[in-house]
Order: sequence, then C-alpha cells, then structure tokens
Amino acid sequence: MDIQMKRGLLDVCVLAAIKSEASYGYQIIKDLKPYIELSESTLYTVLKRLEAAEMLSVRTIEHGGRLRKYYYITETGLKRIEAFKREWEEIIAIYSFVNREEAQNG
Amino acid sequence: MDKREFIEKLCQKLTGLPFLETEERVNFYREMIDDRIEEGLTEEEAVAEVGMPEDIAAQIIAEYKAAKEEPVGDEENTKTIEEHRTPAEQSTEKAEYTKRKLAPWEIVLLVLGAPVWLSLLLAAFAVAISLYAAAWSIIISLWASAVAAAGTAVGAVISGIRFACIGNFAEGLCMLGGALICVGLSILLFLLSHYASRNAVLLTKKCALTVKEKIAKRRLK
Repeated sequence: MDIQMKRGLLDVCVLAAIKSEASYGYQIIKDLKPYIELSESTLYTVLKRLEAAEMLSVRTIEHGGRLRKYYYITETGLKRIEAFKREWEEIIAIYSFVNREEAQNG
Repeated sequence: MDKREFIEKLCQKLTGLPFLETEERVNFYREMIDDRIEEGLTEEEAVAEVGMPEDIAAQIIAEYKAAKEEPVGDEENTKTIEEHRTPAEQSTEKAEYTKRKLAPWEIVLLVLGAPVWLSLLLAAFAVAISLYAAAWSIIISLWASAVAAAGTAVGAVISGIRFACIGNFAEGLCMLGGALICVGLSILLFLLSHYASRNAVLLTKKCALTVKEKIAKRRLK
C-alpha cells in the first residue's frame, strides 16, 4: 500500500478507536488488531502526530498504582473522521467506475 | 528478559536522543508491558511480545533521524494537517509563535517590573512548596501515630500480663482490652498512612510529568 495512504488510514483508525470513549495504548492496539496490524512504535508515531494536529488530547490517569496515558478525541479529530468518510465515498465511486470498465473488457 | 532489563537496554541504546524524548518513549513501552502483565501474561512473555529492545531502539532512531533530516516529508505531513484547520486556528498558532520574540519595550517593562512579578512568582512558588510540605507532614504524622499505637499496644500487653501475674486480674484484663483497641487503631492507621503516601507519590509523579511535558511542548513550539 502507498505509504501516504497507509499513514492516513492509520490516523483515522486510531481516531476511530478512541471515538466512542477514551482509550489507552494497549487497548488501541488490541481493538485494531483484527483490521490493521499496528506495532508499538508505529502507534507512538501516530499518536504524536495526532496530538500535534490537536486531533486528540492526552491525559495521564492513575490506574492500579501506576500511571497510564489516556487519549481523548477532540472536535478536530471528529471532523477528520467525517472528512475521511466523505473522501472514501469518492474513492468507492472511482473504484466502482474502474471495476465496471474491467468487467466490460472481460 | 524481565521488564527492568528491557528498559535498561532500551535507555542505553537511546542515549543519543534528547532526554525528554527518551523518557517519553520508555514510559510508553513501560505502560505497554504493564498492561500486558495486567492482562495475565508473565513479565517475560509481555516483554517478548513487545519486542527486542535493540530492534525497537533502531526503529526509533531511524524514525527520529528521518524526521530531522527530511523536512520535505514532514512538510507534506503538516500540510495535510493544515488543510483540516480553520484559518482562525492557524492565525492563533502564528500569534503564539511570534510571542516568543520580545519587543524592546516589553523587555524594559519586564526588567522594571521585576521587583513585582519576581516576588509574586517566588511567593507563589513558596506557597506551593509549603503546601506540599504540609501534605507530607500530615502523612508523616499518620505514620508516627500508627507506630505509636502499635507501641502502646505492646506496652499495654506487657503491663496487662504483669498485673495478671501480681493477681490483679481486673486491671490486667482492662490493660489487655486497651491493647486490643490499640492494635486495631494501629492497623487502621497503617492502612490509612500507606494509602495516603501512595497517593501522594503518584500525585507527585503526575505533576512532575505534566510540568515536564508542558516545558517540552513550549520548547518545541
């Protein structure tokens, strides 16, 4: 897959993983496992990128006698997911167009 | 490999990176290992699942270098981010950026105002420290009273037995009762002070982390 595209997909996947409620690193990896294999260092980079873009905010919360970082989606992050959905509708339209051409040829 | 070994190795391999960067990365991996252990894996298994510290460090350093050396790739990245921002957001960011360069009159004002703002700052700092010290002294006094209650219990048992030996059973029983009360009290106080100090330590860590991250973010801007 194209690197730029994969990066965008990863960003949206992580945002989707924290959309309904705040989550933490390991939980995000587990939630995404069926769809996209995500290594720890990749997740770190994605989280940093999203934080810099203010699509998520980080809060450190005590959990079982240690500290754990929780990631919260922001308004900008929600907008990004919506934008992704719209983009994807366009891509699906293009895909079906490409596919129809091929079906006609074959 | 256990967790400590993993973290030591990772730290060692990342010595070239800025301190804050290293610490944040290492904390991230520590959390990952702890979460796996919490789920039921053994320490060894959790570490093995996260990966070899050598590989991880190599990846981190490669990423770090790429981010530093290839401003082109980064620019593209920020451009895509910029697209999702409103112009207002972009302009406030610019305003924040120019804030760092102080105008001459601002510097003069800062210097002239030093007796005021410096003393206020110092006072705020002193208040914060004294509040912190007060919190810890409460905790220390809790520990002290727990120890005192335990000591009293031991004393009361001894004197209770002595009374009983002399023949004053009533006084002896009374002393033993007192000892039991003290034992209960000391257990409660121990639990309480343990809980209080654990929370104080966690709170301190959290505050330190927040302050550090704030400073790091300001530097990056």
